[in-house]
Amino acid sequence: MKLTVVPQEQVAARSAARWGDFGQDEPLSDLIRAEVTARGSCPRWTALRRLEQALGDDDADQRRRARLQEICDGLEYEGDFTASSGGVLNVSPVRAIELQPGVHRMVCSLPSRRLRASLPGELHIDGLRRLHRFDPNTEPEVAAALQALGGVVVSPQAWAGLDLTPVADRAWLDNLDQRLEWRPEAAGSLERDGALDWQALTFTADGPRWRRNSDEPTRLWRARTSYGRWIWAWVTADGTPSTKAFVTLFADDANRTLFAVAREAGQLVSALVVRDDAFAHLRLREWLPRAEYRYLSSLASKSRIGNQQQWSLPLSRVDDVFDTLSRRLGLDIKEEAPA
Amino acid sequence: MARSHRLGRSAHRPSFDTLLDRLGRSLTSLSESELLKATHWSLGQDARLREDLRFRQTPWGRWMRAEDLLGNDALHRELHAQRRGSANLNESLDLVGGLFGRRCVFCPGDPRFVLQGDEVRLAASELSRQPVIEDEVGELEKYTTHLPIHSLKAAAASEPAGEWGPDAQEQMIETLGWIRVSSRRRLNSRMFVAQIEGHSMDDGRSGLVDGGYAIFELWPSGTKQLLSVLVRGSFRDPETGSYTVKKYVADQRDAEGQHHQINLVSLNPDKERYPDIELQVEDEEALTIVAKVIQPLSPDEYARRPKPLRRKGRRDLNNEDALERVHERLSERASRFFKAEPAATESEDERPDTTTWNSQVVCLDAGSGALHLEIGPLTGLWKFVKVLVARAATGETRQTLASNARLRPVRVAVLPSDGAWTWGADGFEDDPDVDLSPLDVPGVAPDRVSAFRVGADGVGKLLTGDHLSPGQAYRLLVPPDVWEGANCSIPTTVLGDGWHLAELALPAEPRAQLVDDLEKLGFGLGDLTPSLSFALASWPDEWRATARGEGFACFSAGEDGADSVLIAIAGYEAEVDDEAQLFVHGPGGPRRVSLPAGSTATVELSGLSTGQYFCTLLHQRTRVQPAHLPFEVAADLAAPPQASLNASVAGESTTGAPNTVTRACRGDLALLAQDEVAVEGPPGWAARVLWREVTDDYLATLELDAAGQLDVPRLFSLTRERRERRLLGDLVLDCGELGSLVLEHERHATVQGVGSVLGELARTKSDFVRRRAGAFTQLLPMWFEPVGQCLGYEVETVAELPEEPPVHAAAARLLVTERRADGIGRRCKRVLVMLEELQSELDEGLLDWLDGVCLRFGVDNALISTGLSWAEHRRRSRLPLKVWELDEVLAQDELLIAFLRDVAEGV
Repeated sequence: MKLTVVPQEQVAARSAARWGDFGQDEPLSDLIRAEVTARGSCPRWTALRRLEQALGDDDADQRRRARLQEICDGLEYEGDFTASSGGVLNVSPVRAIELQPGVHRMVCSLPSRRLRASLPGELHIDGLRRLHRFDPNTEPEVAAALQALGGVVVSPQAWAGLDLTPVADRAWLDNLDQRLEWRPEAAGSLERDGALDWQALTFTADGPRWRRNSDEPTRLWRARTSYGRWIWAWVTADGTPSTKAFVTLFADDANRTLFAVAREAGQLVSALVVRDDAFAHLRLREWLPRAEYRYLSSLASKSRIGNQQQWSLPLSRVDDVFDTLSRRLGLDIKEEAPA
Repeated sequence: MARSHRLGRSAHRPSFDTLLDRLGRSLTSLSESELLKATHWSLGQDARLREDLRFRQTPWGRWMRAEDLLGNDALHRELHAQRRGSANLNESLDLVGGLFGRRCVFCPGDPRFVLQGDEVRLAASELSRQPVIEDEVGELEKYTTHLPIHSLKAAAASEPAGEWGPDAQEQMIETLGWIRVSSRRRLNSRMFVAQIEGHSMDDGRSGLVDGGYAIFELWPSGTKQLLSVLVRGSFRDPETGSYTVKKYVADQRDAEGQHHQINLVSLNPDKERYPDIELQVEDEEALTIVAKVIQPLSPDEYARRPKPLRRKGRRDLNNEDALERVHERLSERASRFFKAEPAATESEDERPDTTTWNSQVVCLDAGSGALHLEIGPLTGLWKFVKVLVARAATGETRQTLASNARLRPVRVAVLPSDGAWTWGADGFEDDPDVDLSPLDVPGVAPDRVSAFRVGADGVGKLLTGDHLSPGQAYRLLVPPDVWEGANCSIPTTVLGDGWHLAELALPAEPRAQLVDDLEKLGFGLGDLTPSLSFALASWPDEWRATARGEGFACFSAGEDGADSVLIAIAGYEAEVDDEAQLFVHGPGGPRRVSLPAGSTATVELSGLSTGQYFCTLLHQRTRVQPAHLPFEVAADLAAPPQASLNASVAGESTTGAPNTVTRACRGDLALLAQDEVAVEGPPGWAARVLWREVTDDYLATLELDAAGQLDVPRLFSLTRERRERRLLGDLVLDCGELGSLVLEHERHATVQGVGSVLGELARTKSDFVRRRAGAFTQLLPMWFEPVGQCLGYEVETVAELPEEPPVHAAAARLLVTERRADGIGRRCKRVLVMLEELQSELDEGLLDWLDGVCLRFGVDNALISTGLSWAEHRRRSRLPLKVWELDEVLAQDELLIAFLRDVAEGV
């Protein structure tokens, strides 16, 4: 063992050599993965705060901190973490989604360095997505490596779970009503630590929006807790969760409910499609429910344009995908001529 | 002059002139009594030396000339610097006086010294136990006041003195130097001093203790019987090998003057560790007695090295002896930190050793729920205890699984409370033998702020003091009353009931506003405390906990892991290089590195092998608190969670697989006990709970806990009604891409069970049924539906009948639920026809109508009932009916069985 004082000017270079440029998404996402893997289970708020402190305090890092939050949202949604109630992030098992022979999309909380060292073949990182490319003839070795990590290979369909997930429609809302009838939560019971600033789901010409003071009758509400976490509630009628009985909804259920309410109200959530020679670029503002998100993310690559998500998918899959999204979510997909 | 006048001192008192001369001739200070008694006090004069400015008092109350220099401190430093225990007073004072150009005197009142004649020695408290070993001494001193000092090994290997010829001892044995000894014995040229190795001769009286010194005499003549001797031979001593110091005990010599048995006896009574060496007569020739012990030397009997000079408020980090002690202390601390508690066996009956149990209040960040009770590992906790319950004085309760707490520390979030939290075992609250009171912890103070210092693992541990150290992170739990009265601007999170949590990372130099705010909350600023953390380039691969629940980081070893770790050090505030040092204790022994001047530095620990490491930052200024950072380099990092679901139901284990539906069990789920069911999967994984019959009923989404365990009590609570009432159904745990687990529920009603329910219905409602005969709309929900359910049917009303009945009647479909190859289905098994009156022989028109109803719903028979009378009609049958009266049926078991055989399903 040797102890050496590292000159301060080299410290940043050592961090960059270990992680990469923190101005990019890849190193930040891997840092979050490393933290969650190391802790096993930890509150999201705590993990991000710890990373923020490690990354520094100057103004440039303020933007980086905001980016950290956004990346963490994405990783939760992609399945790299198992997010549980109370805003806790848990380490997640290794799942290899078989996109095509020799290409697996890797979903797990293991940081890329450990994953790369454990798998034969190459690991390509594109934003939050990690693709494992290998020679299809080495599939037994890949299977053995996955088994050693406790992982499994799953089909895109099983990963998305469309077959097992309800459609966003009247039946879904009926099911919520049934839950509300059977196990209502007392009015105001979420506000023991102080009043919450509830926002109602409303529909505008630009699509669904959340408003604080809305006169429109609504049953889906959301509020941000003092720890920065969103919570959603489905309320009986004519009131807020502060004044009426309600059921709390998981984020995914809330997303599905938003689409179902929009469909029932005849105010379909719209998405815009721009086609080029090889791809159709689907742009929408709302987060899709998890199953539909996973279904789309296994076929399309995601990017961000302003406050919209853009999914680029090959033209050959467009009809199937649009049909599925319209049928399941009532998504109103509008074509726009390329600029 | 004004000053001396005010003090009442005059410049000169002529009668003191002689005293001044006397002091001018003395090398030492004198007491006032020595100076004044004969010349003034005995003459009745009230004279005091303080009256004359020409005299001044030493710090130890004696007097010297004001113009002279007190040489004690210089002499003290000099002796320490030269590592000498004594010096000639005259020479030393001349030396010091020459340096300063003034006459120098010595004060014998200084407790650091002992003055003997013209030699001044350091007092025993100033001396270490280490001897002063001189390389060379004068010929006159050799074997007169000084003896050579050898290692025992070298002495043991020496040739007999007879073979030395004219050579002196020190030329024949490789000596370490010379040591001055004080012995009442006359020294001679065969004597030497050696350090005792091992504990075998330590009986508490002999003085031959490990590390102590003793005088030996080489090649003794005459008998050695019962003497302590240094011997070498072909034996093997557990401590020293082929030589040893032992007590020589031989048996009686025979006629030829030979011994048969020689024992080398250890004086230490622990004979298992320090056995005697028994030698047979043939070994005697292979045994050489090299020397005998003359006397053990106490530290007062040899010249000792002074203790390293310590300055108040300073820590010596350069002196070898001091560093050795630092390493020893840190090594002990490291081994204490990582030391694992012995695992105790679990027993149903034995009382566990609760002294090893950990229970405390800790504070996490606000996002994690702030205040927590931490317990565990509860080694030896009774196996029958499944759930532990913490109860606050307010009545608030929190639960945790005993299985987790047995193995590792677990935390439960609690609201701040000033009353104590008590722990109990769920279901054993009244059992005096299940005493969990050792886990009880007091509440937080309601009238002052509780401070928790945050460690590297992010856990805040409760502090007892009222000072916070700059450079450290704290969580302050502020009671409502204190917060209202404090009017401070520190940002806080409201926890409920008016309690506030402030999370602070105190900078090395806190702003005045912050210091002011802390004062309002009852805290002062303590000494600067540096902090150690892992640099961004060395992010831990895992966090582990000691048996006591203290967290430490873990890094992977091997090709994919880093063989170096970067430690970021902040707040150490060194004014010069080397003032602060980082010490690391690891598998390769202790290491240290000096830190540059400044307050932040990063140190790389490279070439790390697997093992546990303990880093400590020490500053030469003792007011800068030490900082510690333990970590481990391990080859075996925790694997990611298995991507599978494991269920154990009634002793039968199954593993779910992705994309599949796995049956975990089939049977009456109402009979299952909670502890017969366990479901394990990845931590936090969501399991959608469905009750599946013909359609799926979504009940809830349950999340596995941090240990990957399903909350079985909650699952049972969610499904209790269905498990107890439904005859058939699937309890489905849909875990997404990891697959689904299905617990198939099938319950066969028993004759006793049906009889009991029917009896209860009849007892409570038969009068109502009689009174309301023919009021089918009322009777259907109140009577026919529960009775139908009891008989194994779901009763479904029929909106329209095929044709108008000839008598007042109503009909309903009786549905049964069945498990088929493609899942659970429901079909109409019979038709229930409700009549006002029932006889064994029915009118032909009514029978035709009954046949028509059966045909309409595609069944072969109908149950006909008034409510209390029942009969079965088979389509197209014109035989008299067997009419069952419910009160008779319930009175006799045989009748009940026959009745159920005719009318019930699945009994």
